[in-house]
Amino acid sequence: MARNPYLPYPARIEEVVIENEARDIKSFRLVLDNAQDAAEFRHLPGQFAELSLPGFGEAPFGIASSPTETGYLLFTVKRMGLFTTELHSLEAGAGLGVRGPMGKPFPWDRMVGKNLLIIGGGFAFTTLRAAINYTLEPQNRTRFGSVFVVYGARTPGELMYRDELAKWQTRDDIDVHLTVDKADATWTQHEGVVTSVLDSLKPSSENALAVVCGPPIMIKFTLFSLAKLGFPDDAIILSLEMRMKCGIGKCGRCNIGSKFVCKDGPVFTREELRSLPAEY
Amino acid sequence: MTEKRIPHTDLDRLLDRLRGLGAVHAPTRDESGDVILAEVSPGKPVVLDYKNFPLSPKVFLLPQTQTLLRFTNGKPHEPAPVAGNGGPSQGDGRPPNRQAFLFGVRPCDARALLALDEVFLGGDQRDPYYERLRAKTVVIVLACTRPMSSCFCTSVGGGPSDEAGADVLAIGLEADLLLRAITPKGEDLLSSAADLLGDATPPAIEEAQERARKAADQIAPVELDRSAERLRNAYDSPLWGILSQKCLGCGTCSFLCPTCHCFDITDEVRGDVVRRVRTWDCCAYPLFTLHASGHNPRPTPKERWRQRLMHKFRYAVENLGRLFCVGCGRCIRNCPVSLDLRAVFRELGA
Repeated sequence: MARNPYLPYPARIEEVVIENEARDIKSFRLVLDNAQDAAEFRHLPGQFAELSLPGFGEAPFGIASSPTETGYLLFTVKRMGLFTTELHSLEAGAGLGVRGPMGKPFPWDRMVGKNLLIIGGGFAFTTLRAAINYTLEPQNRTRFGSVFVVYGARTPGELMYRDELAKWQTRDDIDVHLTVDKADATWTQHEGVVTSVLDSLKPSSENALAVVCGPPIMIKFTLFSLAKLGFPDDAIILSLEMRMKCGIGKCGRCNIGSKFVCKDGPVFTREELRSLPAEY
Repeated sequence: MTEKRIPHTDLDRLLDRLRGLGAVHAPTRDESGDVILAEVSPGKPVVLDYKNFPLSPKVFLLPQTQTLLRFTNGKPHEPAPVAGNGGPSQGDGRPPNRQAFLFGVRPCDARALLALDEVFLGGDQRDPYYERLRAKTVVIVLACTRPMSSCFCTSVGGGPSDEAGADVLAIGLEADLLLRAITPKGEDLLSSAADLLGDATPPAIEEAQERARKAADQIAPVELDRSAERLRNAYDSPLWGILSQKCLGCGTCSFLCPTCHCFDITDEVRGDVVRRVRTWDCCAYPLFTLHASGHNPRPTPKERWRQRLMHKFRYAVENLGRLFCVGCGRCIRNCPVSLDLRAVFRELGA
C-alpha cells in the first residue's frame, strides 16, 4: 500500500536564522527524524512542501535548499498569520511535520545548456536560493551557461541570505546584482527597483531562460522589461502563489482554469499562464 | 449481464440477505417525514416512491467531517481500523471492515460517484480515506419514474434509468423490481440472493424500457451541448456579474451537490487530543482563496460563482473529459435566492 499522502514526515528544527532587520523572516533548517524518510524525500529546486504543526494545521512553503545540500531541508518563512506566527515561536530542537515534496520544479531539463537570468524580489527569493546553489554545485555548474542574478528588497536590511550573497559576489562563475528600493548610508550597490537594474544592465536573451519570483507588482513590471530584452513567453519561468490545503490536486482550492497550482505548478512559463484566467 | 426480478413483496427478504453481508442503507422516512438514505434495521419500512434524497450519497464516501490524523505528543497517527460495525458514513476516518449497500440511489447521484472517483482515485496520488470507503460500497440504483421540474439529467449524459455508477440497476415495475447487474460487485450481489430472484421475462424487460422512456420524456432539456467550448469564450462575459448579484455565498449549492468535493483541512484541539480534520468547503466562500497577505484572487461573488460553473462545465471537461454536473437539480431547488445555473446556458446562447 502506498504511503498515506496526508501523513507528514516527522522532523526536527536544527537551526533557526533570523533573515532580516524587521525580524519577521526566519529560516528553519529541518532534519527528518527517520533516515528512510530522508532518502524518500527527493526534490528539485522550485518544488514546495507543506509544513505541519499539530493544532495549528499546515501551510505550503517553497523549499529553499538545493538537493545538493544534503542532510537537511531549508524553509524561509515570513511571519504572516496563525501558522507562521507559531512557527516563528519555535526554537532549535522543536518537532514538526513535513509533507512533500510537492509540485513541479523549475524545468531543469530545459535549463541545461542555457544562460540563466534569475530575478527575485523580497521574501520570494527562497526557491531561487535553492536554484542558485543547485547550479553552483561543482558537478552541475558546467551544465549551464552564464548565471546572472538580480535580487531586490526594500532596504539593505531586508535582503535575506546575506552571508551567501556576499560569497556569491566573490565568485567569477556567477554575476549577482543586488538592489534596494531605499538605500542607507552604508549601501554601495544598486538602488531602485529590480526592473531599473534590468533596464540598465540589459542581460542578453540569447540562448537564455529567465526565472522570476517576487511580489505581483514586481512580476508585472519585470515582464515588461523581459519582453523589451527579447525574452519570448516560453523563456520566462514564473512561480505562482495560491492558497492550498491538500497539495495533491484533490481539495480544489488552488484550481485556476484547468490547472491545479499544487500539482501542475507552482512553476509555469509565461506562455502557459497566458492560456489561464488571470486569477492569481 | 445478469437480469433478474423480485416481487415487491419479497424486497424485505432481499434486504435481510444483504444485512448478512453488511450494512444496508435504504430509503426510509426520518422523524420529519423526509425520505432519506439511512441504515434500515429489519422491519423498518422502506419507501420506494420518493423523488430523491435531500442529501446526495457523497456523504457516504466523503463525509462532511472526517478525521484524517490524530496526534499524540506531536506524533501523527492514522486512525486505526474499525473493530466493530463500520458504516461507510463514519467521519472518524477509520477504515471500514464490512460492506455497505446503498439501496435506492438515484441514477444522477450514482453517476456523480464516477466524477468523485476521478478526483480521489485518479491522478498521481490516490486518496486512501475515500478509497477504503469506496471499496466497501455497493451501489444499487433505483431508476426514476417521476422526475422533478428542476431535473435535467438527460442534458448531461444521464437519464432516469442510467447505469453509470451503478453496481446494480433496479427498475420498479407494476409487481416486481427488475434487477440488472452492471459490475462484478453487482453480479456478486445477485448471485448471493439467487434463490430469492426469478428470471427477468421479456415482458418485464419491455415494461422497464417503457417506463424509462416515459420518465425521460418528462424532463425538460437544457442547452448544455459544447458547454466547455462555449464557456471558453465567455470568461469575460458581463453575465457573471449580473447573474451572481443576488448570490449570498451560503454554499448550499455545493454542499448539496453530489459532485462538489472541495475540502478544507484544519486542526481541532480538545484538551490533549489534536485531530486533523477534513471538512467540506466551497468556492463560493470568500475565505476559500484568501491569501495570508490579504490578497484574494476571487474577491467578489462574481468571480466565485463563475469559478463554480467553470469548474463543473469547462475545467473538469478539459481535465477529465467529464461534466461535473449530473442534473440532479438540488442547487436549483435549494438555493435561498433562487439562482438557477440553467439560466447561464440559456443566456449564453449557442
